Amino acid sequence: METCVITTGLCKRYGSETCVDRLSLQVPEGAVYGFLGPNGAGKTTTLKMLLGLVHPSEGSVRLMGHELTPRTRLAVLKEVGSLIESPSYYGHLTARENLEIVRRLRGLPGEKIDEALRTVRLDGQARKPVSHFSLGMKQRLGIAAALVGRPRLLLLDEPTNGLDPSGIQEMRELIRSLPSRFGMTVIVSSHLLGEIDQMADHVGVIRRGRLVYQGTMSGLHGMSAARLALRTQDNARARSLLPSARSDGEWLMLDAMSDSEAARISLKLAEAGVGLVRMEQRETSLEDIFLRLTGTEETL
Amino acid sequence: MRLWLSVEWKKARRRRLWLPVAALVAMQGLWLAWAVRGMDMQEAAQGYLGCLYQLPMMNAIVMPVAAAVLVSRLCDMEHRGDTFKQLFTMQPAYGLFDAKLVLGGAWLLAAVAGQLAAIRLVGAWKGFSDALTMGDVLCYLGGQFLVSLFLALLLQALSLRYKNQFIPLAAGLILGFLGLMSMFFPPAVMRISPAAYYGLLSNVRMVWDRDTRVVTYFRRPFPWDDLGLLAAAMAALYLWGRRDFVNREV
Repeated sequence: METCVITTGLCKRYGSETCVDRLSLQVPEGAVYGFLGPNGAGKTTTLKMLLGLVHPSEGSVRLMGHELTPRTRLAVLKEVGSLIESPSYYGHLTARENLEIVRRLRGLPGEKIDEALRTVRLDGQARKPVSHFSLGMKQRLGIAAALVGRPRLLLLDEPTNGLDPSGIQEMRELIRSLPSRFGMTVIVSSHLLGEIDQMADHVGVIRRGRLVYQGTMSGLHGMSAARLALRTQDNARARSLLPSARSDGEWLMLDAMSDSEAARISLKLAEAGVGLVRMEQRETSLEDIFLRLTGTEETL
Repeated sequence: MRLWLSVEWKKARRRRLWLPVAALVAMQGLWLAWAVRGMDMQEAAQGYLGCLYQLPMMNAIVMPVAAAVLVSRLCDMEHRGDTFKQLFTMQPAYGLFDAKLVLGGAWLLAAVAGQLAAIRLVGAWKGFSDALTMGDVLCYLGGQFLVSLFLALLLQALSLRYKNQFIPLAAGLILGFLGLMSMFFPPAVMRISPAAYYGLLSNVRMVWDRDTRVVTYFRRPFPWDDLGLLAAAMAALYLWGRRDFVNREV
């Protein structure tokens, strides 16, 4: 699988404050890449740097094999669609007229507008002024504008904002289908783990501007494997008897095991005269992992 | 540039950009008609010159306000729709800046042309007997348009910089007020006020005879030195305003 987006040591500083800190993203071609992090972690700033809307203090961006520089930016971005923060629109124009502006600037044929409107199911509202649209419809229009011309890469910043529950579900399904339907690579940011879990196959987790995890979604799920937690009357002695055990406060943690293996451990401890007080299986939820990665003290 | 202009034209649909221009020309036309209503034959003998002298004075007061309304309507839609972050992925920022300036400038040129049409209509109505020469028309059109373009440039830079459109509108009012006040000062001081160039670039002057209480209008050579000064200021403002807009992060 080729890499569609590569950032190397990407930094953004405002005065003494570092918003994005040496970020090195690798987004595979044809993936839905979830860019996950708490509010204020630096997701939007990063996406803006990928589009050249914010100038990096350090580092470089490579999109679809091309270095993003002030000179190459617009040529490279011809194949990139984006929806950053909130949808961009002219309220006094209709949905079709809004997309016509995008189409003209991208130099695309007229039928691309109908295609984009159909994709987000706005074809019935095409002649209505956007100022009369609900927030959800405006969000759909924003997605349609990003989809005009089927770009190779799509950057969506919290795209389900403002949508009702059925709209959210529909949007998630749409995003998930884009790589197979149109061969797109999608980067979608969110502060909601469940949302990314439903849409993405790759994930990058950012905390205070730093990438704290990058890999496949299944890899993140792998981190939530079950473990066996033990509490004994003498944890130090128990640990010497069980070399694979790790201390976690008053507990000893072991990788998940079969019942017979667990029984063997309890007998081993009893034979050594170490009283087993508690033995329980623990599952680390995806939320726990996310909170551990991003820091529990931050609001989500 | 043609593409960016066509896009700007498309965006400006239903924004009624013609309204401040039409209102300005209608108001000035009515004022001219009122001013010449009791004109006798002797006064009609220099009717066109009188109009070419008076309208620039009026422009100095009202044109900054009209330009501010026009420019603000052109730029406000980008702030309202939060469109910069989308547009700048498809067109260079300088392209947007230039296209807006050209479109705003075109409407202001239409306003100046409308003023000339109003002068001609009033002249035909009252039977002005002096000549409205091609030189007069070109001096008026060129001089008044360039000052308007300078004001549009200044107001556009403000309008694109600040989301709050009260700032360019207030700037328009202040420029109009300074234009009015500048008429009471000698030319050297007038040159500080942008709107004063409406009068400075006029090729018509007047003398008022205190004893006979008669006003006499006369032509003078076009003030190329003042035009040079304005052009230099405009170039500097264009470079600053455009660079400020292009370098901004959105």
